[in-house]
Amino acid sequence: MAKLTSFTKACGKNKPKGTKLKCYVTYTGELSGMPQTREAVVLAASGSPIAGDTKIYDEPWDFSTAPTGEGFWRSFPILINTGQFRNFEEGEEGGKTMMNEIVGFIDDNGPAAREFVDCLRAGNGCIIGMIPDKQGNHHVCGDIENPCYVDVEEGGTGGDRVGYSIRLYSDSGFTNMQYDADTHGIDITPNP
Amino acid sequence: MAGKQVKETPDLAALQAENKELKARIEEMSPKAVKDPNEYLPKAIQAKFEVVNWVGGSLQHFGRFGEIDLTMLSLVKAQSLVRRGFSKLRARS
Repeated sequence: MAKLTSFTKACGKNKPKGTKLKCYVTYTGELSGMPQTREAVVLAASGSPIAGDTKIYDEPWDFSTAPTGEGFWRSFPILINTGQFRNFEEGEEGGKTMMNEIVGFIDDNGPAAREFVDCLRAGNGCIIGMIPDKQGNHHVCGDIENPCYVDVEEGGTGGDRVGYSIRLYSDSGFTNMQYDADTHGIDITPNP
Repeated sequence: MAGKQVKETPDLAALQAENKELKARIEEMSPKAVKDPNEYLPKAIQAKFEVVNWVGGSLQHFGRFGEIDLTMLSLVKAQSLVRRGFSKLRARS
């Protein structure tokens, strides 16, 4: 059973809202597994985990089993002030879950953008998303067993904006994990 | 009366040999997986720096360190990365 510990406020740090420019996506089938959490890594090294270690992936993403030309993170740009990562509860008492969601706007209606949107929709239920917040923390949406689904509610030549409103969402049941990209990197090169 | 069209039997052995040669050429041209990521570094940089605990391809994004392409790493960038605490690159002693 999960036990509450004290949670202290971190003073002296700016917390700007929103996300950075790029959102990353990859296919669940290209990963050979999810990275270990920082808690697992610290325990394996006979250390003592600290608060927050269960919510951080502290190993590189493993694309070693993906075929040639696959096994990497694709990216797409999100229009300023439209990107957000949300965790929200759904369901009635006795049946609640926690949904994770990445929303954003791709401000382009050219052929390459439309092709990308079609490919993204085709990956419905087969992808994992990741987006950095303004502080540089990379938030992960979905995992191999709870992949992301894709909503592209509308888009095109625009009434207000030209482009596509994108929503990636996953029912992991918990608040999202984050990934230590500063240490382990985001591989954007396909396997040779 | 029109002559009968003779169906030419393809030379199977020749086709198989050509197929084998083409496959070998494709294999030669394809980028190879490197066992040691230090092989990605330009020779001049390899002499002064080494890559440690690098997993995956030569081009990766490292959050606040930005995009790092080991194949295009310059001396100035390598020195800057080490100075800023990038854990995957180390100056050789």
